[in-house]
Amino acid sequence: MGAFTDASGNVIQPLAIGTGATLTVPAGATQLQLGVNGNTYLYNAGAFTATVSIQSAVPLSSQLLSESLDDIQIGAAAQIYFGLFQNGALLTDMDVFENVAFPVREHTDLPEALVRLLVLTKLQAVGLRGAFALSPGELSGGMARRVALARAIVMDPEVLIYDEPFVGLDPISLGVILRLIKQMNKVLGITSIIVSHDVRELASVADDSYLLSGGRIAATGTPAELRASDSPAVRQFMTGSAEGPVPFHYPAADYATQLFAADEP
Amino acid sequence: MSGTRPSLLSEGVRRLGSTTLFLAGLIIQCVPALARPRLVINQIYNAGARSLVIIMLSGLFVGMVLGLQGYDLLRRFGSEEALGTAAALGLLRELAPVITALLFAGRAGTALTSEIGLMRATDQLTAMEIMAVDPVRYVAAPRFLGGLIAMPLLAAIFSVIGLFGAQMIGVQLMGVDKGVFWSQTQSSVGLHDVSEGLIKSVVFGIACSLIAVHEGYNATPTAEGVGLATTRTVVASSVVTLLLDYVMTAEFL
Repeated sequence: MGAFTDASGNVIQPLAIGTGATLTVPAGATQLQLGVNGNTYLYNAGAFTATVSIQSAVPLSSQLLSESLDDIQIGAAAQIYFGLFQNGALLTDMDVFENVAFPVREHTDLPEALVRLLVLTKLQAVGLRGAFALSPGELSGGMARRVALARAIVMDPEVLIYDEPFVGLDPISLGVILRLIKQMNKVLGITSIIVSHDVRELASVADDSYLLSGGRIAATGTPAELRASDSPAVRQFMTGSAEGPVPFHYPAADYATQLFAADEP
Repeated sequence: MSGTRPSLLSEGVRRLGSTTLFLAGLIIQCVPALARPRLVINQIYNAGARSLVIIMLSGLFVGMVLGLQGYDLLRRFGSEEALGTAAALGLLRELAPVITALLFAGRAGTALTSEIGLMRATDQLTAMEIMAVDPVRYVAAPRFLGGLIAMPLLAAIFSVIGLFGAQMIGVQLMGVDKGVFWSQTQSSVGLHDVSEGLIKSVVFGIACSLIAVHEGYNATPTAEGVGLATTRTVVASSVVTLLLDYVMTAEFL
Protein backbone atom coordinates (compact mmCIF):
# COMPACT_ATOMS: atom_id res chain seq x y z
CA MET A 1 0.00 0.00 0.00
CA GLY A 2 1.97 2.95 -1.22
CA ALA A 3 1.03 6.51 -0.46
CA PHE A 4 -0.75 8.40 -3.22
CA THR A 5 -0.65 12.12 -3.75
CA ASP A 6 -3.09 14.34 -5.53
CA ALA A 7 -2.29 17.18 -7.91
CA SER A 8 -1.36 19.59 -5.13
CA GLY A 9 0.89 17.06 -3.42
CA ASN A 10 -1.38 16.11 -0.51
CA VAL A 11 -1.19 12.48 0.54
CA ILE A 12 -4.38 10.63 -0.15
CA GLN A 13 -5.27 7.68 2.02
CA PRO A 14 -5.78 4.63 -0.14
CA LEU A 15 -9.11 2.93 -0.24
CA ALA A 16 -8.81 -0.68 0.78
CA ILE A 17 -10.79 -3.07 -1.35
CA GLY A 18 -11.00 -6.67 -0.32
CA THR A 19 -7.69 -8.15 0.62
CA GLY A 20 -4.96 -6.74 -1.57
CA ALA A 21 -6.31 -3.87 -3.60
CA THR A 22 -6.12 -0.19 -2.92
CA LEU A 23 -7.34 2.63 -5.03
CA THR A 24 -7.64 6.33 -4.71
CA VAL A 25 -10.40 8.69 -5.56
CA PRO A 26 -9.12 11.71 -7.47
CA ALA A 27 -11.84 14.02 -6.19
CA GLY A 28 -9.81 14.39 -3.03
CA ALA A 29 -11.99 12.23 -0.86
CA THR A 30 -9.47 11.24 1.76
CA GLN A 31 -9.99 8.27 4.06
CA LEU A 32 -12.69 6.81 1.98
CA GLN A 33 -13.61 3.54 3.60
CA LEU A 34 -15.79 0.67 2.61
CA GLY A 35 -15.58 -0.39 6.20
CA VAL A 36 -18.91 -2.12 6.39
CA ASN A 37 -19.02 -5.90 6.06
CA GLY A 38 -21.84 -5.89 3.57
CA ASN A 39 -19.82 -3.91 1.15
CA THR A 40 -16.52 -5.70 1.19
CA TYR A 41 -17.69 -9.24 0.51
CA LEU A 42 -18.30 -8.33 -3.07
CA TYR A 43 -14.68 -7.86 -3.86
CA ASN A 44 -13.29 -10.98 -2.32
CA ALA A 45 -14.47 -13.95 -4.28
CA GLY A 46 -14.28 -15.03 -7.87
CA ALA A 47 -12.08 -14.14 -10.76
CA PHE A 48 -13.23 -10.80 -12.05
CA THR A 49 -15.64 -9.72 -9.41
CA ALA A 50 -16.29 -6.10 -10.01
CA THR A 51 -15.34 -3.01 -11.84
CA VAL A 52 -15.02 -0.02 -9.58
CA SER A 53 -15.55 3.22 -11.40
CA ILE A 54 -14.71 6.62 -10.14
CA GLN A 55 -16.53 9.68 -11.29
CA SER A 56 -14.54 12.69 -10.35
CA ALA A 57 -16.85 15.46 -9.44
CA VAL A 58 -15.82 18.99 -8.70
CA PRO A 59 -12.81 18.36 -6.46
CA LEU A 60 -13.59 18.95 -2.84
CA SER A 61 -11.23 21.25 -1.08
CA SER A 62 -9.04 19.17 1.16
CA GLN A 63 -9.47 21.74 3.89
CA LEU A 64 -13.20 21.21 3.96
CA LEU A 65 -12.70 17.49 4.21
CA SER A 66 -10.16 17.55 6.99
CA GLU A 67 -12.33 19.98 8.92
CA SER A 68 -15.37 17.84 8.68
CA LEU A 69 -13.40 14.75 9.59
CA ASP A 70 -11.90 16.43 12.63
CA ASP A 71 -15.03 18.07 13.89
CA ILE A 72 -17.44 15.26 13.39
CA GLN A 73 -16.90 11.91 15.03
CA ILE A 74 -16.67 8.73 12.99
CA GLY A 75 -20.38 8.08 13.33
CA ALA A 76 -21.29 11.25 11.53
CA ALA A 77 -19.05 10.42 8.58
CA ALA A 78 -22.33 9.59 6.89
CA GLN A 79 -22.45 13.21 5.86
CA ILE A 80 -19.62 12.38 3.54
CA TYR A 81 -20.28 8.81 2.48
CA PHE A 82 -23.55 7.22 1.72
CA GLY A 83 -23.96 3.77 0.27
CA LEU A 84 -26.61 2.49 -2.05
CA PHE A 85 -27.47 -1.17 -1.90
CA GLN A 86 -28.25 -3.76 -4.49
CA ASN A 87 -31.71 -4.41 -3.09
CA GLY A 88 -32.28 -0.92 -1.74
CA ALA A 89 -32.29 -2.22 1.85
CA LEU A 90 -35.25 -0.02 2.75
CA LEU A 91 -36.53 -0.31 6.29
CA THR A 92 -39.62 -2.44 5.92
CA ASP A 93 -41.53 -1.15 8.93
CA MET A 94 -41.74 2.39 7.55
CA ASP A 95 -43.35 3.89 4.46
CA VAL A 96 -41.36 5.57 1.68
CA PHE A 97 -41.57 9.02 3.25
CA GLU A 98 -40.31 7.82 6.63
CA ASN A 99 -37.53 5.83 4.96
CA VAL A 100 -36.20 8.91 3.24
CA ALA A 101 -36.70 10.98 6.40
CA PHE A 102 -34.89 8.41 8.55
CA PRO A 103 -31.31 9.78 8.28
CA VAL A 104 -32.57 13.34 8.79
CA ARG A 105 -34.54 12.43 11.89
CA GLU A 106 -31.65 10.42 13.31
CA HIS A 107 -28.92 12.99 12.72
CA THR A 108 -30.65 16.33 13.07
CA ASP A 109 -33.33 18.07 15.09
CA LEU A 110 -34.89 19.85 12.14
CA PRO A 111 -38.51 20.93 12.54
CA GLU A 112 -41.08 18.67 10.95
CA ALA A 113 -41.96 21.19 8.23
CA LEU A 114 -38.35 21.28 7.08
CA VAL A 115 -38.01 17.49 7.13
CA ARG A 116 -41.11 17.34 4.96
CA LEU A 117 -39.64 19.81 2.47
CA LEU A 118 -36.33 17.96 2.34
CA VAL A 119 -37.92 14.57 1.81
CA LEU A 120 -40.39 15.77 -0.82
CA THR A 121 -37.70 17.55 -2.83
CA LYS A 122 -35.48 14.46 -2.82
CA LEU A 123 -38.39 12.23 -3.78
CA GLN A 124 -39.23 14.68 -6.58
CA ALA A 125 -35.62 14.38 -7.78
CA VAL A 126 -36.01 10.63 -8.23
CA GLY A 127 -39.53 11.00 -9.61
CA LEU A 128 -41.35 9.26 -6.77
CA ARG A 129 -43.00 12.12 -4.94
CA GLY A 130 -46.35 10.51 -5.67
CA ALA A 131 -45.28 7.27 -4.00
CA PHE A 132 -44.50 8.79 -0.61
CA ALA A 133 -47.18 6.86 1.25
CA LEU A 134 -46.40 3.42 -0.20
CA SER A 135 -44.71 0.78 1.91
CA PRO A 136 -41.45 -0.77 0.65
CA GLY A 137 -43.29 -4.01 -0.09
CA GLU A 138 -45.43 -2.25 -2.68
CA LEU A 139 -42.48 -0.96 -4.71
CA SER A 140 -40.92 -2.57 -7.76
CA GLY A 141 -37.17 -3.25 -7.76
CA GLY A 142 -36.37 -0.11 -9.72
CA MET A 143 -38.62 2.05 -7.55
CA ALA A 144 -37.08 0.64 -4.36
CA ARG A 145 -33.65 1.53 -5.65
CA ARG A 146 -34.79 5.04 -6.51
CA VAL A 147 -36.21 5.48 -3.00
CA ALA A 148 -32.89 4.23 -1.63
CA LEU A 149 -31.16 6.79 -3.81
CA ALA A 150 -33.39 9.54 -2.44
CA ARG A 151 -32.56 8.34 1.07
CA ALA A 152 -28.87 8.32 0.25
CA ILE A 153 -28.85 11.94 -0.99
CA VAL A 154 -31.18 13.39 1.63
CA MET A 155 -28.23 14.34 3.84
CA ASP A 156 -26.40 15.84 0.84
CA PRO A 157 -23.37 13.53 0.92
CA GLU A 158 -20.21 14.43 -0.94
CA VAL A 159 -19.37 10.89 -1.96
CA LEU A 160 -21.91 8.25 -2.90
CA ILE A 161 -21.11 4.55 -3.13
CA TYR A 162 -23.32 2.43 -5.35
CA ASP A 163 -23.25 -1.33 -4.88
CA GLU A 164 -24.40 -3.02 -8.12
CA PRO A 165 -27.00 -0.36 -8.97
CA PHE A 166 -27.95 -1.95 -12.31
CA VAL A 167 -28.55 -5.56 -11.28
CA GLY A 168 -31.95 -7.02 -12.09
CA LEU A 169 -33.54 -3.90 -13.56
CA ASP A 170 -35.67 -3.70 -16.66
CA PRO A 171 -34.24 -1.50 -19.45
CA ILE A 172 -36.41 1.50 -18.57
CA SER A 173 -35.59 1.44 -14.85
CA LEU A 174 -31.96 0.92 -15.76
CA GLY A 175 -32.02 3.98 -17.98
CA VAL A 176 -33.67 5.99 -15.20
CA ILE A 177 -31.09 4.95 -12.61
CA LEU A 178 -28.29 5.65 -15.05
CA ARG A 179 -29.62 9.14 -15.73
CA LEU A 180 -30.05 9.77 -12.00
CA ILE A 181 -26.45 8.77 -11.28
CA LYS A 182 -25.27 11.20 -13.96
CA GLN A 183 -27.50 13.94 -12.55
CA MET A 184 -26.27 13.41 -9.01
CA ASN A 185 -22.77 13.83 -10.34
CA LYS A 186 -23.31 16.82 -12.62
CA VAL A 187 -25.97 18.77 -10.72
CA LEU A 188 -25.16 18.05 -7.10
CA GLY A 189 -21.44 17.47 -7.58
CA ILE A 190 -21.50 14.14 -5.79
CA THR A 191 -18.45 11.96 -6.33
CA SER A 192 -19.73 8.52 -7.22
CA ILE A 193 -18.09 5.18 -6.69
CA ILE A 194 -19.94 2.48 -8.59
CA VAL A 195 -19.38 -1.22 -8.16
CA SER A 196 -20.86 -3.05 -11.11
CA HIS A 197 -20.48 -5.77 -13.69
CA ASP A 198 -22.37 -3.88 -16.35
CA VAL A 199 -19.57 -2.77 -18.58
CA ARG A 200 -21.70 -1.00 -21.17
CA GLU A 201 -23.63 1.07 -18.64
CA LEU A 202 -20.47 1.99 -16.80
CA ALA A 203 -18.80 3.13 -19.98
CA SER A 204 -21.43 5.83 -20.36
CA VAL A 205 -21.03 7.29 -16.87
CA ALA A 206 -17.54 6.51 -15.65
CA ASP A 207 -14.65 8.93 -15.88
CA ASP A 208 -12.25 6.30 -14.70
CA SER A 209 -12.51 2.60 -13.99
CA TYR A 210 -10.69 -0.07 -12.07
CA LEU A 211 -10.94 -3.73 -12.86
CA LEU A 212 -10.60 -5.93 -9.81
CA SER A 213 -9.50 -9.52 -9.87
CA GLY A 214 -8.95 -11.74 -6.90
CA GLY A 215 -8.99 -8.73 -4.57
CA ARG A 216 -6.39 -6.83 -6.57
CA ILE A 217 -6.62 -4.17 -9.23
CA ALA A 218 -6.06 -5.89 -12.56
CA ALA A 219 -6.36 -2.86 -14.80
CA THR A 220 -7.14 0.83 -14.64
CA GLY A 221 -8.07 3.46 -17.17
CA THR A 222 -11.07 4.90 -18.94
CA PRO A 223 -13.57 2.30 -20.20
CA ALA A 224 -12.26 2.83 -23.76
CA GLU A 225 -8.70 2.21 -22.62
CA LEU A 226 -9.75 -0.96 -20.83
CA ARG A 227 -11.46 -2.25 -23.93
CA ALA A 228 -8.29 -1.67 -25.89
CA SER A 229 -6.19 -3.39 -23.25
CA ASP A 230 -3.39 -5.73 -24.22
CA SER A 231 -4.31 -8.22 -21.50
CA PRO A 232 -6.53 -10.98 -22.90
CA ALA A 233 -8.23 -11.42 -19.50
CA VAL A 234 -9.21 -7.76 -19.32
CA ARG A 235 -10.43 -7.82 -22.91
CA GLN A 236 -12.46 -10.94 -22.16
CA PHE A 237 -14.20 -9.19 -19.29
CA MET A 238 -14.88 -6.01 -21.21
CA THR A 239 -16.36 -7.84 -24.19
CA GLY A 240 -18.12 -10.46 -22.11
CA SER A 241 -16.67 -13.34 -24.13
CA ALA A 242 -17.13 -16.88 -22.86
CA GLU A 243 -13.78 -17.95 -24.30
CA GLY A 244 -10.58 -16.63 -22.84
CA PRO A 245 -8.10 -16.97 -20.05
CA VAL A 246 -10.80 -16.83 -17.34
CA PRO A 247 -12.03 -20.42 -17.28
CA PHE A 248 -15.67 -21.45 -17.50
CA HIS A 249 -15.16 -24.40 -15.15
CA TYR A 250 -14.73 -24.17 -11.44
CA PRO A 251 -11.50 -26.00 -10.55
CA ALA A 252 -12.33 -29.72 -10.38
CA ALA A 253 -10.86 -33.20 -10.47
CA ASP A 254 -10.40 -34.91 -13.81
CA TYR A 255 -13.79 -35.32 -15.51
CA ALA A 256 -13.49 -39.00 -16.50
CA THR A 257 -11.91 -40.02 -13.23
CA GLN A 258 -14.72 -38.42 -11.21
CA LEU A 259 -17.47 -39.78 -13.47
CA PHE A 260 -16.32 -43.37 -13.19
CA ALA A 261 -15.18 -43.38 -9.59
CA ALA A 262 -18.14 -45.25 -8.13
CA ASP A 263 -17.57 -44.60 -4.44
CA GLU A 264 -16.80 -40.92 -4.52
CA PRO A 265 -19.48 -38.24 -4.72
CA MET B 1 -11.68 -20.45 9.50
CA SER B 2 -9.39 -23.43 9.73
CA GLY B 3 -12.23 -25.82 8.98
CA THR B 4 -11.98 -27.77 12.23
CA ARG B 5 -15.15 -27.89 14.29
CA PRO B 6 -14.84 -25.99 17.55
CA SER B 7 -15.41 -28.14 20.60
CA LEU B 8 -18.70 -27.87 22.44
CA LEU B 9 -17.01 -26.26 25.43
CA SER B 10 -15.10 -23.63 23.51
CA GLU B 11 -18.22 -22.85 21.47
CA GLY B 12 -20.22 -22.46 24.68
CA VAL B 13 -17.61 -20.17 26.20
CA ARG B 14 -17.45 -18.15 22.99
CA ARG B 15 -21.21 -17.65 22.94
CA LEU B 16 -21.35 -16.71 26.61
CA GLY B 17 -18.58 -14.19 25.98
CA SER B 18 -20.20 -12.69 22.92
CA THR B 19 -23.53 -12.43 24.72
CA THR B 20 -21.87 -10.68 27.67
CA LEU B 21 -20.08 -8.21 25.40
CA PHE B 22 -23.33 -7.63 23.56
CA LEU B 23 -25.07 -6.93 26.89
CA ALA B 24 -22.39 -4.37 27.77
CA GLY B 25 -22.89 -2.60 24.44
CA LEU B 26 -26.63 -2.81 24.86
CA ILE B 27 -26.59 -1.24 28.33
CA ILE B 28 -24.46 1.64 27.07
CA GLN B 29 -26.93 2.22 24.22
CA CYS B 30 -29.95 2.05 26.53
CA VAL B 31 -29.41 5.63 27.70
CA PRO B 32 -29.72 7.24 24.24
CA ALA B 33 -32.51 4.78 23.45
CA LEU B 34 -34.48 6.02 26.47
CA ALA B 35 -34.14 9.53 25.07
CA ARG B 36 -36.51 8.38 22.31
CA PRO B 37 -39.33 6.93 24.36
CA ARG B 38 -41.55 6.42 21.29
CA LEU B 39 -39.43 3.46 20.10
CA VAL B 40 -39.34 1.89 23.56
CA ILE B 41 -43.07 2.35 24.07
CA ASN B 42 -43.71 0.66 20.72
CA GLN B 43 -41.66 -2.30 21.87
CA ILE B 44 -43.38 -2.48 25.25
CA TYR B 45 -46.60 -2.67 23.26
CA ASN B 46 -45.17 -5.37 20.96
CA ALA B 47 -43.67 -7.54 23.69
CA GLY B 48 -46.13 -6.73 26.46
CA ALA B 49 -49.60 -5.79 25.31
CA ARG B 50 -49.61 -8.33 22.51
CA SER B 51 -48.68 -11.12 24.94
CA LEU B 52 -51.52 -10.20 27.30
CA VAL B 53 -54.08 -12.70 26.07
CA ILE B 54 -51.79 -15.73 26.30
CA ILE B 55 -50.50 -14.60 29.71
CA MET B 56 -54.00 -14.04 31.11
CA LEU B 57 -55.35 -17.33 29.76
CA SER B 58 -52.37 -19.27 31.11
CA GLY B 59 -52.60 -17.46 34.44
CA LEU B 60 -56.27 -18.34 34.77
CA PHE B 61 -55.72 -22.03 34.09
CA VAL B 62 -52.59 -22.32 36.21
CA GLY B 63 -54.52 -20.68 39.06
CA MET B 64 -57.47 -23.03 38.57
CA VAL B 65 -55.23 -26.11 38.59
CA LEU B 66 -53.51 -24.76 41.65
CA GLY B 67 -56.92 -24.41 43.30
CA LEU B 68 -57.86 -28.01 42.51
CA GLN B 69 -54.53 -29.61 43.42
CA GLY B 70 -54.01 -27.38 46.45
CA TYR B 71 -57.46 -28.12 47.78
CA ASP B 72 -57.00 -31.88 47.33
CA LEU B 73 -53.62 -31.80 49.06
CA LEU B 74 -54.65 -29.53 51.93
CA ARG B 75 -57.85 -31.44 52.62
CA ARG B 76 -55.75 -34.51 53.53
CA PHE B 77 -54.30 -32.46 56.37
CA GLY B 78 -57.60 -30.84 57.19
CA SER B 79 -56.34 -27.37 56.41
CA GLU B 80 -58.37 -26.33 53.38
CA GLU B 81 -58.50 -22.74 54.59
CA ALA B 82 -54.77 -22.41 53.85
CA LEU B 83 -55.56 -22.68 50.13
CA GLY B 84 -55.34 -18.91 49.64
CA THR B 85 -51.91 -18.79 51.20
CA ALA B 86 -50.63 -21.71 49.17
CA ALA B 87 -51.94 -20.35 45.90
CA ALA B 88 -50.76 -16.79 46.51
CA LEU B 89 -47.25 -17.79 47.61
CA GLY B 90 -46.86 -20.34 44.83
CA LEU B 91 -47.98 -17.87 42.21
CA LEU B 92 -46.15 -14.80 43.43
CA ARG B 93 -42.84 -16.41 44.22
CA GLU B 94 -42.52 -19.16 41.66
CA LEU B 95 -45.15 -19.82 39.05
CA ALA B 96 -45.89 -16.33 37.79
CA PRO B 97 -42.28 -15.27 37.07
CA VAL B 98 -41.22 -18.63 35.64
CA ILE B 99 -44.23 -19.43 33.48
CA THR B 100 -44.43 -15.82 32.29
CA ALA B 101 -40.78 -16.01 31.26
CA LEU B 102 -41.28 -19.29 29.43
CA LEU B 103 -44.36 -17.96 27.63
CA PHE B 104 -42.57 -14.70 26.91
CA ALA B 105 -39.69 -16.59 25.30
CA GLY B 106 -42.11 -18.46 23.08
CA ARG B 107 -44.39 -15.56 22.21
CA ALA B 108 -42.29 -12.38 22.24
CA GLY B 109 -38.72 -13.74 22.18
CA THR B 110 -39.18 -15.64 18.95
CA ALA B 111 -40.83 -12.62 17.35
CA LEU B 112 -37.89 -10.42 18.37
CA THR B 113 -35.30 -12.88 17.09
CA SER B 114 -36.89 -13.49 13.73
CA GLU B 115 -37.64 -9.80 13.22
CA ILE B 116 -34.06 -8.71 13.90
CA GLY B 117 -32.67 -11.72 12.03
CA LEU B 118 -34.68 -10.81 8.94
CA MET B 119 -33.55 -7.20 9.21
CA ARG B 120 -30.01 -8.55 9.19
CA ALA B 121 -30.77 -10.86 6.25
CA THR B 122 -32.23 -8.04 4.16
CA ASP B 123 -29.27 -5.71 4.80
CA GLN B 124 -31.42 -3.29 6.81
CA LEU B 125 -28.99 -3.33 9.74
CA THR B 126 -26.04 -2.75 7.41
CA ALA B 127 -27.95 0.07 5.74
CA MET B 128 -28.36 1.71 9.16
CA GLU B 129 -24.64 1.35 9.85
CA ILE B 130 -23.92 3.03 6.53
CA MET B 131 -26.26 5.85 7.48
CA ALA B 132 -24.23 6.16 10.69
CA VAL B 133 -27.19 5.01 12.78
CA ASP B 134 -26.05 2.42 15.29
CA PRO B 135 -28.43 -0.54 14.90
CA VAL B 136 -27.72 -1.58 18.48
CA ARG B 137 -29.12 1.77 19.60
CA TYR B 138 -31.97 1.98 17.12
CA VAL B 139 -33.06 -1.67 16.84
CA ALA B 140 -31.63 -3.74 19.68
CA ALA B 141 -31.77 -1.42 22.70
CA PRO B 142 -35.47 -0.42 22.41
CA ARG B 143 -36.47 -4.08 22.03
CA PHE B 144 -34.33 -5.09 24.98
CA LEU B 145 -35.83 -2.33 27.13
CA GLY B 146 -39.33 -3.17 25.94
CA GLY B 147 -38.98 -6.81 27.00
CA LEU B 148 -37.32 -5.84 30.25
CA ILE B 149 -40.16 -3.49 31.20
CA ALA B 150 -42.94 -5.75 29.93
CA MET B 151 -41.87 -8.89 31.82
CA PRO B 152 -42.57 -7.78 35.45
CA LEU B 153 -45.87 -6.26 34.37
CA LEU B 154 -46.90 -9.49 32.68
CA ALA B 155 -45.83 -11.53 35.71
CA ALA B 156 -47.89 -9.28 37.98
CA ILE B 157 -50.96 -9.71 35.78
CA PHE B 158 -50.32 -13.47 35.73
CA SER B 159 -50.31 -13.53 39.56
CA VAL B 160 -53.52 -11.56 39.87
CA ILE B 161 -55.43 -13.62 37.32
CA GLY B 162 -53.99 -16.85 38.76
CA LEU B 163 -55.10 -15.97 42.28
CA PHE B 164 -58.53 -15.14 40.92
CA GLY B 165 -58.62 -18.57 39.24
CA ALA B 166 -57.59 -20.35 42.44
CA GLN B 167 -60.22 -18.44 44.36
CA MET B 168 -62.83 -19.32 41.77
CA ILE B 169 -62.15 -23.05 42.15
CA GLY B 170 -61.49 -23.10 45.90
CA VAL B 171 -64.34 -20.87 47.02
CA GLN B 172 -66.96 -21.22 44.29
CA LEU B 173 -66.49 -24.91 43.52
CA MET B 174 -64.95 -26.56 46.58
CA GLY B 175 -66.64 -24.46 49.18
CA VAL B 176 -63.74 -22.95 51.10
CA ASP B 177 -64.99 -19.95 53.05
CA LYS B 178 -64.38 -16.78 51.06
CA GLY B 179 -63.52 -14.65 54.08
CA VAL B 180 -61.06 -17.22 55.39
CA PHE B 181 -59.49 -17.59 51.95
CA TRP B 182 -58.75 -13.88 51.61
CA SER B 183 -57.85 -13.15 55.23
CA GLN B 184 -55.38 -16.07 55.29
CA THR B 185 -53.88 -14.79 52.07
CA GLN B 186 -53.65 -11.26 53.37
CA SER B 187 -52.05 -12.18 56.67
CA SER B 188 -49.45 -14.60 55.29
CA VAL B 189 -48.23 -12.87 52.14
CA GLY B 190 -45.60 -10.25 52.97
CA LEU B 191 -43.92 -7.60 50.94
CA HIS B 192 -40.79 -9.74 50.62
CA ASP B 193 -42.83 -12.41 48.80
CA VAL B 194 -44.00 -9.82 46.28
CA SER B 195 -40.51 -8.42 45.87
CA GLU B 196 -39.03 -11.91 45.40
CA GLY B 197 -41.35 -12.46 42.45
CA LEU B 198 -40.63 -8.98 41.15
CA ILE B 199 -36.86 -9.43 41.31
CA LYS B 200 -37.14 -12.79 39.60
CA SER B 201 -39.27 -11.46 36.78
CA VAL B 202 -36.92 -8.51 36.23
CA VAL B 203 -33.95 -10.90 36.01
CA PHE B 204 -35.86 -13.19 33.65
CA GLY B 205 -36.84 -10.15 31.61
CA ILE B 206 -33.19 -9.18 31.22
CA ALA B 207 -32.14 -12.74 30.36
CA CYS B 208 -34.93 -13.53 27.88
CA SER B 209 -34.81 -10.17 26.09
CA LEU B 210 -31.02 -10.30 25.90
CA ILE B 211 -31.00 -13.80 24.46
CA ALA B 212 -33.73 -12.98 21.93
CA VAL B 213 -32.10 -9.76 20.74
CA HIS B 214 -28.60 -11.23 20.68
CA GLU B 215 -29.62 -14.32 18.73
CA GLY B 216 -31.48 -12.21 16.18
CA TYR B 217 -28.69 -9.70 15.87
CA ASN B 218 -26.09 -12.38 15.24
CA ALA B 219 -28.26 -14.72 13.17
CA THR B 220 -26.74 -16.11 9.99
CA PRO B 221 -28.48 -14.03 7.31
CA THR B 222 -30.24 -16.92 5.59
CA ALA B 223 -33.68 -18.49 5.97
CA GLU B 224 -32.08 -21.45 7.73
CA GLY B 225 -29.99 -19.22 9.98
CA VAL B 226 -32.96 -17.16 11.16
CA GLY B 227 -34.93 -20.33 11.87
CA LEU B 228 -32.05 -21.76 13.84
CA ALA B 229 -31.63 -18.55 15.81
CA THR B 230 -35.34 -18.55 16.69
CA THR B 231 -35.11 -22.11 17.97
CA ARG B 232 -32.01 -21.27 19.98
CA THR B 233 -33.84 -18.32 21.55
CA VAL B 234 -36.59 -20.56 22.93
CA VAL B 235 -34.22 -23.28 24.11
CA ALA B 236 -31.65 -20.96 25.67
CA SER B 237 -34.29 -18.71 27.28
CA SER B 238 -36.11 -21.67 28.84
CA VAL B 239 -32.97 -23.32 30.21
CA VAL B 240 -31.52 -20.06 31.50
CA THR B 241 -34.85 -19.12 33.11
CA LEU B 242 -35.12 -22.40 35.02
CA LEU B 243 -31.46 -22.33 36.01
CA LEU B 244 -31.62 -18.75 37.25
CA ASP B 245 -34.85 -19.59 39.06
CA TYR B 246 -33.15 -22.30 41.06
CA VAL B 247 -30.21 -20.07 41.91
CA MET B 248 -32.41 -17.19 43.00
CA THR B 249 -34.80 -19.39 44.98
CA ALA B 250 -31.87 -20.92 46.86
CA GLU B 251 -30.63 -17.42 47.57
CA PHE B 252 -33.96 -16.05 48.79
CA LEU B 253 -35.03 -18.92 51.06
